[in-house]
Amino acid sequence: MLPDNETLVALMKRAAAGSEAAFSDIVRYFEKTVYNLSMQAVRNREDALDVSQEVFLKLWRTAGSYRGECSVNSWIIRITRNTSLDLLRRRSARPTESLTLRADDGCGERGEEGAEREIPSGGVEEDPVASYERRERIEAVRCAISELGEEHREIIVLRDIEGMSYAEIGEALGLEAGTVKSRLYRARNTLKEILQKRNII
Amino acid sequence: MESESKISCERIGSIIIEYIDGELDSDAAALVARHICECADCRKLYNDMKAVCRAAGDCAYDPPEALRPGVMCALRRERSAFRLIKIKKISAFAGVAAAAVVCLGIGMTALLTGLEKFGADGDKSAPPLLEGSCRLAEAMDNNSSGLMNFRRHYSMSDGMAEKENYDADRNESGDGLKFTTDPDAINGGEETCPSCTVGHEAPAASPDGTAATASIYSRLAGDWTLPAENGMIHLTLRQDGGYSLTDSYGIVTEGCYNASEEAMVFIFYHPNGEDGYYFTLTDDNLIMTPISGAGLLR
Repeated sequence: MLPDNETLVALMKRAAAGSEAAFSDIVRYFEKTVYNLSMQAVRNREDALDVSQEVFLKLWRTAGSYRGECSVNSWIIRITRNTSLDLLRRRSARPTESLTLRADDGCGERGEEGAEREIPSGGVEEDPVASYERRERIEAVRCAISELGEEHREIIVLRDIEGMSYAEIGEALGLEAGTVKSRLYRARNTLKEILQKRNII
Repeated sequence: MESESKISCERIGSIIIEYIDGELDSDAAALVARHICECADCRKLYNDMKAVCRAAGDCAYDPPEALRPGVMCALRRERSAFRLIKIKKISAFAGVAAAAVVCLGIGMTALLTGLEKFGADGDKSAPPLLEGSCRLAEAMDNNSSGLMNFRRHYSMSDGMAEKENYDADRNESGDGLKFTTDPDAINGGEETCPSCTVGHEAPAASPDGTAATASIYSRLAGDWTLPAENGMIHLTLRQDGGYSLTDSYGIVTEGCYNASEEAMVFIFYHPNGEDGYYFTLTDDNLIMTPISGAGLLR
């Protein structure tokens, strides 16, 4: 879990003053958020890694201009969204590299060798059959999420993967509370329909 | 506070996600909890939605282990970068003239022929002084004043390697430079500079004396400055691959450099070895990050 915002602000101040140790802590706290947000936007591992590193470098370079007008969390999420968008724009300017997906196409995230298969392990003694089934299920859910629209994918990441509150999500995305709720509702409903249709839940 | 003791299924549907996410106040949450106990349809809705949230949560990616070290490494490289500012662009002609002064007697005819080929805008065309030549620079210690002496010699395709004809004040002691004029030792397009042990991109000879390739060298050419410990460092980069660096103490180092735009690597060659930098070049900014340790730029 993230430490509270005051702690994060103090870390940002130290980083702005040049402390690599403080910045390393910030990276540690936020790397999962940044990576998952980038991943849902750019859909492949290499680009997500590039975006994530670029996000943290930008954060480092501009640490001095963070004035606490929003939470550190929101600040970083905004940088991540902008950086992902930049990459997507650059990518769409090179039509030979399109990674567009079609809904009936099988799956979303593609690395160089095809579907992404990064699945956290189930533990030391996991039964191989259960392990296989779990991996297949996670892949299927990732596939379903990748078929959602961009805004829906994003809010699912922030709520269900990062566990942010509605208020935090609203601040990060610049949305009113009501919009957060309705968007989340529609995102989950759509996801539910896809998952139920495919007998995943 | 007792509001409705019952809540409708329709209402449940619209707040069920808030309930799941813990965003309802305790009274509202209690109402929902009670309703779900009693209503099978709403209980199913709750379970389905909860399953969706859980399924999505399981999909989190672990960030690659390379992420954090990669960031810290890039960060440190940036911190140690030197930003040189271009002060004025010298014409390649001036650079050539300076070199010509130093190398008295080395195939003067050929040199003069090369000089004659220059047009008015010397820095637009690369100065291939001699056709197919590789430019070497060798710096040597000067005993008394700590200045580096500088020899510039060229291997010429007609075999006239004139080691003996260097400028008069060369130091007798440090030598050992052998370079070849054997055409077979010179690979097509790329010539090996023995003192530097790398290939210089020799400008391709063409009838009017302009170079086909050398764009990175022509863009790097010029006078650059860098604030340093107690003053300024001046770096003159020449299009022909030579450089002259004066540090803030007035010590001059001269030699040759190699720059690869593709690899973004810049190497200074000097008597004590070589210093490598990653570089990026914009119009007036040359950013050099040491590949390892401190180097000529300090």
